[in-house]
Amino acid sequence: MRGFSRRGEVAVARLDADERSIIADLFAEVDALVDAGPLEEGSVNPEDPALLRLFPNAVPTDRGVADEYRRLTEPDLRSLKVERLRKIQKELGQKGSEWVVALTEALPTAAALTDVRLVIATRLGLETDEDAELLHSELDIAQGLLEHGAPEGLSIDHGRISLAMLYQALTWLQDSLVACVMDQEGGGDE
Amino acid sequence: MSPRGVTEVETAVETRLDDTWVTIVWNDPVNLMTYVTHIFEKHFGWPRAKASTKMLEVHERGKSVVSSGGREQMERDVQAMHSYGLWATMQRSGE
Repeated sequence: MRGFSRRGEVAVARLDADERSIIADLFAEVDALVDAGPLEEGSVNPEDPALLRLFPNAVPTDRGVADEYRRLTEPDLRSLKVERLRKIQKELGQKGSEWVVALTEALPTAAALTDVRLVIATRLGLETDEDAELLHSELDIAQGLLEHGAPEGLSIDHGRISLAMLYQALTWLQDSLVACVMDQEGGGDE
Repeated sequence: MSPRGVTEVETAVETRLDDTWVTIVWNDPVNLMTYVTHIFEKHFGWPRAKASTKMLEVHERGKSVVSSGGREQMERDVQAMHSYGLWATMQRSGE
């Protein structure tokens, strides 16, 4: 995998067939979760905490306004998220090793990557900046153990490590994509 | 100025304050600093320096008030932030 770099008016990442298919599957999973239907009214604690992160309680200080806000905005927000997730699944489903994103589409693509990362982060139990830092160390240790063999009595949670590696890969893809569009725009107003 | 006039002014001020809401963006471990800066630039039309300062405020202080105004405008801001995966809430100003 190679992160996004700019090529004229597009950003291009390289992913092999396995990487494309793993990431597309992940987007499909999140798509299904998001598309599953509206959160119940007054649902400050939906069954899946990932949903609350994708559709946060907008007005924690006023339940009535919060419910009204959710009723009015959630359908649009849901379709927007689903539309972005599906567009990427389609892009990743195409043949070839390049993932080409027009710079004008960089932001919606980065937003969809964020939604997928938010869901994985909930699954990994990342709640604070410290948790995210610890995940890096956890991965380093796990990789060491995988290379040199784990000492007796110490087991590796392979499912968690795979998910953490995917999370890191998506973070890296998103970061490189945002860099492409920010470099282009430059922030020359400073 | 008549006492009645004074009362009217006070009522008007009170109503206005009551109608003012703020949008707050909260820190989270997922959103990248560059991404948050870019969202602020795009959505609020801020120059990069201001967007970056606000992003750092979120990151270091845990939250930042990013806009204030009528409830409908704040609803639009919160919805936009949620569409980008940022954790945003709104509340009455002074709450």
